[in-house]
Amino acid sequence: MLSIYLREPCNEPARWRAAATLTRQARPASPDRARLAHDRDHAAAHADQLAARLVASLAERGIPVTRACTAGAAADHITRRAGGTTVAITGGAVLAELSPALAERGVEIVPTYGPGATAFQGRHQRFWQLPPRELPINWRTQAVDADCRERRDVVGLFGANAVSAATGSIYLVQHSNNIGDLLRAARLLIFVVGIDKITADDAAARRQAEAVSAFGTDTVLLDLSRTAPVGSPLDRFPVVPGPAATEVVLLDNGRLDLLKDQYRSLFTCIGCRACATRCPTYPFFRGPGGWSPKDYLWSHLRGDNPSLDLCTLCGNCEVDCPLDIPLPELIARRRADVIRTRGRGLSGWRRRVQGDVEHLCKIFSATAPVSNRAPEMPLAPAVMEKVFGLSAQRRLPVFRKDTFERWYAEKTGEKEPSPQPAPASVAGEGEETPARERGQVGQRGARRRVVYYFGCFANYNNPEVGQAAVEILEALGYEVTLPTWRCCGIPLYAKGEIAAARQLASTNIASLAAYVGSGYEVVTTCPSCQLALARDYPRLFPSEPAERVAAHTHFLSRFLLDDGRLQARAAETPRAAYHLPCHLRAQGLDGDSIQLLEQTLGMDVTNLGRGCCGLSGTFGLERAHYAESMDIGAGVFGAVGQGDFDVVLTDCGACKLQIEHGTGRKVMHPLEVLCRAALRAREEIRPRAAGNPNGRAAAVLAPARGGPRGARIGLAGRSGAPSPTPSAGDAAEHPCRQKYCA
Amino acid sequence: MTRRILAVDHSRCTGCRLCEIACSLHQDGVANPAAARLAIVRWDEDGVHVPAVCQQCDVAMCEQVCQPSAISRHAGTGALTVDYGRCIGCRMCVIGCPYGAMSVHPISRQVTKCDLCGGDPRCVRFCETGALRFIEPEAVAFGKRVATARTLLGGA
Repeated sequence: MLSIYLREPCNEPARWRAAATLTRQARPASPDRARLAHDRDHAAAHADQLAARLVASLAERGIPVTRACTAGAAADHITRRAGGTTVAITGGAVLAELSPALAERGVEIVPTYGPGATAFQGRHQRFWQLPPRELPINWRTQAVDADCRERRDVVGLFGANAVSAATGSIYLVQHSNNIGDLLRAARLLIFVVGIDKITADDAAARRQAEAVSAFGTDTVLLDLSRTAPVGSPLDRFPVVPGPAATEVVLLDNGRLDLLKDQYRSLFTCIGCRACATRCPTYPFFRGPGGWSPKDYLWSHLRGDNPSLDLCTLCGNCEVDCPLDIPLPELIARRRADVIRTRGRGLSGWRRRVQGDVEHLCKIFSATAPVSNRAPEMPLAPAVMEKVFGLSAQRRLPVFRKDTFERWYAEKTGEKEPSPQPAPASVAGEGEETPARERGQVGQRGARRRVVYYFGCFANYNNPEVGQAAVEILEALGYEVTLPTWRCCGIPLYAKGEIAAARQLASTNIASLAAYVGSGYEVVTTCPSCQLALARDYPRLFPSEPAERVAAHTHFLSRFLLDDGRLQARAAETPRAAYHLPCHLRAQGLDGDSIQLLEQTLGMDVTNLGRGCCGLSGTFGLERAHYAESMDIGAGVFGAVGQGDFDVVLTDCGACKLQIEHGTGRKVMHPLEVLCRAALRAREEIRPRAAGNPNGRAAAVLAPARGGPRGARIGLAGRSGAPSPTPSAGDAAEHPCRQKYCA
Repeated sequence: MTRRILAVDHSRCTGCRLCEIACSLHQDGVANPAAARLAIVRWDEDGVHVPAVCQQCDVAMCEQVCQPSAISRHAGTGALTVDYGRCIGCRMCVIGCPYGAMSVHPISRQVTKCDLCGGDPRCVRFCETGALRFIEPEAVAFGKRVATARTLLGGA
């Protein structure tokens, strides 16, 4: 006899917890992620043995088992067993995988949950709109007493959430009544077991079912807004006597192939759908990949889902995954595979061009301000849409001729002859030899030294960010150097152009590793560059230098917090709204910029907390995704509009572009705000500006000398402020001069 | 007059579970403690019994997570009540309630919760020890003040 366990919501745990709080009894533990990871690793390492053991266990108990290599084979078997009877399916990814094949074979399918059931328009579309809460985990696992003598003439098809190889026990997770009802009603119960759902024993299977319920709860809430069953769809089937028959279909359908290559970690997925909770584009997934972001990729690997275009590689799924499956990396690798095997095609080349941010920036920057006016030309919208695939409704970021590099060269030109200094050597030894040639860890000099990897955005679009970073670091006594650099490669990597990204990465890694080798720390101000240097390089291009660079790369906000010496004048404390870029969340740098502003300036910073802004690199710029992009960003735009904020802040250049587009307000980098305040606090660095023939450096320092300072910070959108939408004219002048020194 | 609340003093509860029987008799017409809208959490070895009842929270999780807005506050009693015409049986309220006061009915499989019996809770009528009382919120605080004062004066 087969044991079936059903895990479902139940108030018992909460009762005990609440009562325990009152009487100070022990609290129940939350799911153990390390144990879960261990279980799943074991399942992946012994997939074949576990499958064989399960077959033996089921045979011992007299349960018929069928091994199906493909969805077609499984569907053939189920069709034969159903023999014309209607098949009722519960929800689940594995059944979404099978139902097209079943429908092809003319089987009538009744969904008891999921797409096809009565659509219900709920209130919540996205995670960020859910009520804020710490959701208690009220679930229990109970053996099902399926010994019901009165059955209905319907075949029940179930996707198992976990199966114990030792006993053959099947664990199912439901949040409504649909699975339990079908277990008690169907005359034939067919359990489809994905080969990745087999665990060693009952304890592991139970833990897995617990994890599915715990980590997948939020997604259930989101999913309800799309589909939910109303009433029981089983009532219409005639009653038949006799107990139910039970059998198991063991489905491979390419799962074992996952173990052979780079997608092995997909095999360890428990199917909880935590990846869908904060996925910005999940609401737009359709078809076989619509169940979760993991299934989006998995169905593409199987060949059921033609496109991976909707993934923006924001990284939210990986943060939420209880097993830390690097889904964005896998999707990028898959895109690269597609390019390798099927070629690019027109749209592929388009994406290749869109991803080559470095060259685009160079061209646009060199031809500024003409290039900034280009979209206003008569044929420009058509060219943008038809040739480059970009939405004509978008305004591209403003490109600057006075790049950050140029500013830095002019600034350092006074004191050092070389505009691009080689890695500084340790005082007293080997002044003549560049550090990169020595290739060894040097001693720490008297001054702490950092190399600032500024990236394309700070260089070509928003030099003020780079200037602020340099000014702050120098004010703290750091020796700041710029590396030999190229674009970090994230835009190319996101499009699957991993080979092209590798070229860029190798230049950056070689350059930065030499600095790190001679005692420099790397700092960044761009979330995506930080993600590339600190996480993606070691993953994609594993090498010792890449690891070394990653270990010494710091996001500047975190770096300044760790330094702890930065003090700024807190005379002006504008109310600021802060939008967290996904790429910072993906690295666990969630609150650093807020903390920095609050600690050093005493600023009142509100985290908008609405998730992705919707731009995601070039995703939102593309014509095909403009509507989705604005839809995703609506939450952020609304939050900016609702609050009474003096200034809107975000670390990311793309988020800035999107929020400015969506709200019409000027958006700033936290460092820009910090720099001005820090400069006022650090009067001692002023002398360098005095008598400085360099207009730009003086401009940055101007607020320190400026007259009335109060209430002059971040007044974008208020009286006398420049036009909120950035234009070429605005950019030509330094914002300091426009906004704060008037 | 402020609305009265179902106040719990777990130190007075003996775990007799008459309240559960009274509740199910009134709500379902059968004596089935498993179907009751409240439950006693029992640590028999320690002699600790805690009645778990709906707090009728002002900001109620069950109401907030309910997608079809099936849970709403009754104008008369102030109790949060379920509109079964709108309920889709997703049980998110069960998952969300931090007090374990949303139950799944063992027979009908619908979610159930305390509705204060329309303003006359039967469990209170049958609670001999006064662990459950239906009183005004102020009275709860007043009772505690009196108890504290007694302690200060050296009383029990």
